[in-house]
Amino acid sequence: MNWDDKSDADLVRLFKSGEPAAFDAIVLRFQDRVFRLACVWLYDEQSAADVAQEVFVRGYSGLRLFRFRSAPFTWLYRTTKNVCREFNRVRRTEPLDHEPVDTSATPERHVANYQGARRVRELVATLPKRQQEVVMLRIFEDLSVRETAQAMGCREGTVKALLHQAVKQLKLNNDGAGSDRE
Amino acid sequence: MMAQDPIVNRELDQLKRGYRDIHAPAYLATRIRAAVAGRGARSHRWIWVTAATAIVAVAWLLPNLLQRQPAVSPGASRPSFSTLAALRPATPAVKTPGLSQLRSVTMPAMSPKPQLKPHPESDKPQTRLHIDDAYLEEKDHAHV
Repeated sequence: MNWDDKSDADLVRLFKSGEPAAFDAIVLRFQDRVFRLACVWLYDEQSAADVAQEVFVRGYSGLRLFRFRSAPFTWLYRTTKNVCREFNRVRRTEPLDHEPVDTSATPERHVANYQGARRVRELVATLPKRQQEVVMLRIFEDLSVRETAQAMGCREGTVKALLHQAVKQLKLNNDGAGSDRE
Repeated sequence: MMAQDPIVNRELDQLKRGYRDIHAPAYLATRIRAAVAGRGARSHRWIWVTAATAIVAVAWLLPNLLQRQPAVSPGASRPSFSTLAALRPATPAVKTPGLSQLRSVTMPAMSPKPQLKPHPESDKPQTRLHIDDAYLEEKDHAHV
């Protein structure tokens, strides 16, 4: 079966109807997005991979009960956020002795991933929490205002307002950085 | 959705490109598949263990319950709730009079209180008792 022409909701529907291969297709379609989010919220790729794995393991049972009130990615986004929060909480109480090293990725890929995540993290770190979320979803994940609102559990008007404030703040930061450079 | 400012726009575009260039490691899908298979097998085992425990518990409890049942006499069976609800307190054969009736009851007039007639000599204390003087006389029975 060709999974590429199926919509996200169709894949979940097929998975719910007992098609195990549909879950593989869901993983392949969303793993990059979940991994990216985890990379920004956590500080190393190994942890991000662990989080992505946990998200999809939860998705295996959770998506069976999915009611299609929102997009499947919205569900995955919320789960990723929760798992990252749990992961950070555990890490805060049990600090790692060493930085885990990802041996499977090529060094170039590793550097690209690291730099991409770091720059986004640095950018959004200047914003308040809610504005960070809006920027991540609306700008970097290209979600619609409606999908962003569903993912954040707020109204569409709130998303627009938060985005406006975030962009204003980014512009201010940019102007400040520009004047510093001069 | 981008900002109106071209500089911010450019910066965000660059960042977005960098962000979109982040890719999950190739092993991730395999790892997820293995984890899901492991978790799935465990959950099935859990269901089977729970079901088997429930069946054993029922099989153990059922004979005990059946043994207890003959000890209860059929006459002492508990009445159903509907029977209990249908129960009414028995009404007395004589109608209880109301409070107003009790107040309006007219009692027959009582006969006048009997008055003692004064004895003509009663006002003389010394004459109230007529003691026969004969009792006071000493009798010497021993010498009779």
